[in-house]
Amino acid sequence: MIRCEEIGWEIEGKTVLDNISIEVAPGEVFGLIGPSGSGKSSLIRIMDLLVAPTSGRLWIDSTEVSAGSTDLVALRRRMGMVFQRPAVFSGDVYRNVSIGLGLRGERPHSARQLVEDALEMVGLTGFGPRRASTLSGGELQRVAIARALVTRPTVLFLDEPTANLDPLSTQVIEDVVRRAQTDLGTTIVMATHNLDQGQRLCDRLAVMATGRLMQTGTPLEVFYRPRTRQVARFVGAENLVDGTVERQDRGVAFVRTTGNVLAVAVHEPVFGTVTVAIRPEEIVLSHDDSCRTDSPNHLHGRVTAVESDGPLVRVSLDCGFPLVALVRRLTYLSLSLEPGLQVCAVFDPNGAHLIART
Amino acid sequence: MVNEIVQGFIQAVDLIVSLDPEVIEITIRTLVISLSSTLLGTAIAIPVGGIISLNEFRGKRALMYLVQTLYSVPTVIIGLLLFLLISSSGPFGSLKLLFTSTGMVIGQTMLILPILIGLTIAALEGLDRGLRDTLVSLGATWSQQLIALLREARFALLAAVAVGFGRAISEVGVAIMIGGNIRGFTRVLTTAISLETSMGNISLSLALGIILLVLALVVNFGVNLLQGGGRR
Repeated sequence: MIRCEEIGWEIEGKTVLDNISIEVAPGEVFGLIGPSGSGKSSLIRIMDLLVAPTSGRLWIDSTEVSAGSTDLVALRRRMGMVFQRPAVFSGDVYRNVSIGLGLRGERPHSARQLVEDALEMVGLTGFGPRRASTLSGGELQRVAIARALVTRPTVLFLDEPTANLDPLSTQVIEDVVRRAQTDLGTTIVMATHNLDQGQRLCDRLAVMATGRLMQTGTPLEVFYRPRTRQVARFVGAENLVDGTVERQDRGVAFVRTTGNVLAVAVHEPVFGTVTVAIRPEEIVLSHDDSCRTDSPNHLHGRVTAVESDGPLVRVSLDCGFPLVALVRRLTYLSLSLEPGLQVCAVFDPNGAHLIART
Repeated sequence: MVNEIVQGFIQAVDLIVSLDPEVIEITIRTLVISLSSTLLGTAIAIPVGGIISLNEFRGKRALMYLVQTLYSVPTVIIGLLLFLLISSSGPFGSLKLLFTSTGMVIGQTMLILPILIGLTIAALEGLDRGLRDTLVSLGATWSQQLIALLREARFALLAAVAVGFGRAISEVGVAIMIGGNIRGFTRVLTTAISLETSMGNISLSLALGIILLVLALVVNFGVNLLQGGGRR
């Protein structure tokens, strides 16, 4: 559907995108995740043909776009784009949604029906006559999605579509994205820094940082098998413990770290120095006396900090190396967790992942 | 002096109420020439301003500075340049435009073009950048983008047209040098004021000045009405 091959983009001597190669399959939801400034929006703008890359090649279906003779307008008319901050045209919602149809010479009668269908899809039935400038941020973003979907694009690009929106509006927009994929068969490419959203909506993810592609894979691969420390840190595997593989036995590698040996499930042989990546939610805390020192991954630790993290509690530990655990509030209360308390931290070998260090 | 102003005001009312044929004729000619130059200037400035605004090219910034500098070009300079071009020995002398209303329209158009172009660019550049990105992403051609963006900037453009009209109707340099202030032919309100003042008819000059101001007021009121109506 879309193929980027070694795409690069420079502005005023600054490299914004460096050698990006990805392929988006028809009908999939492909997510670009990464911190602010990682190049997600720039890449999405290149794929939507809003800007031309300074190097590399781009294909939309079988058409190579980089070639100067390509009819960009015809290609753009097969795509739709929703920006982080939706642009509002003067006039009512109907005009805002129907603009793309007008550009294609759609007759007013059929356009009206299409607009009404699009407004219904985004949950704004009856909003047509309302002045667009009076809508809330969430409603405006839904109008922008209706504006993009009303032309029935084969590819829909979403650039941080729910940034700065309340949870309810976010949920509505995520539902629309799912329906666009399942009901209309639209291929969707979305940039987001919301990891949960990327995990919820996307079939595959590409992790970007400082203009480079760090890893591509399914949400499971990216979140639970990050290839680099940078990706691991970004996807929330914030416990990164360096060590050396001592031995491997039946799919488990034993890694010597400062004062401990950690057991980590591996799918292929790993040697030498590694980083053990453990997601905080994979760590279970219990009373210190429940620690069995003869068992792997039973770590004595001293609580150094406790703070709320939404419905969970984030507990920082000193186990000879820093470790962070996310525990339920009930656990926090039953263990009376507070700084200075000795606890036992346990994780399953399958809940950790090894990153080879070069 | 206060007496003369009062007398001028009374005379202006008298000239308007009595429908003085010469004043009516001068006023109509003034309006026709200024409106013609404003329409012509607008027809040229909007596409030119659009081309400059919607395209990125080397020297764009310098061109915009030049246009802004030309806002304040003295009217007599435009008059002199045009005089050299259309006088009988000039390259366009054969068109016989000197001392004609058409020549005055051309001169006033040259005078207000930089203002109209500059304010068109400013109106388009002042729009939300996302509007153009959205239009491009929706598959708008270049001309569709321009038309849609001009529509979004229509109130600022109306204001630009009002400023251009104000400059055209109030200028005297081009009217004198190109029109020649020929009675019954090229005399307009500003040249008539100039002549009457030099002849010592201060009250009549003031009366004509008041009529000129009322004309400008009526046109601006009309523009404001259009802007208000469109925003509702």
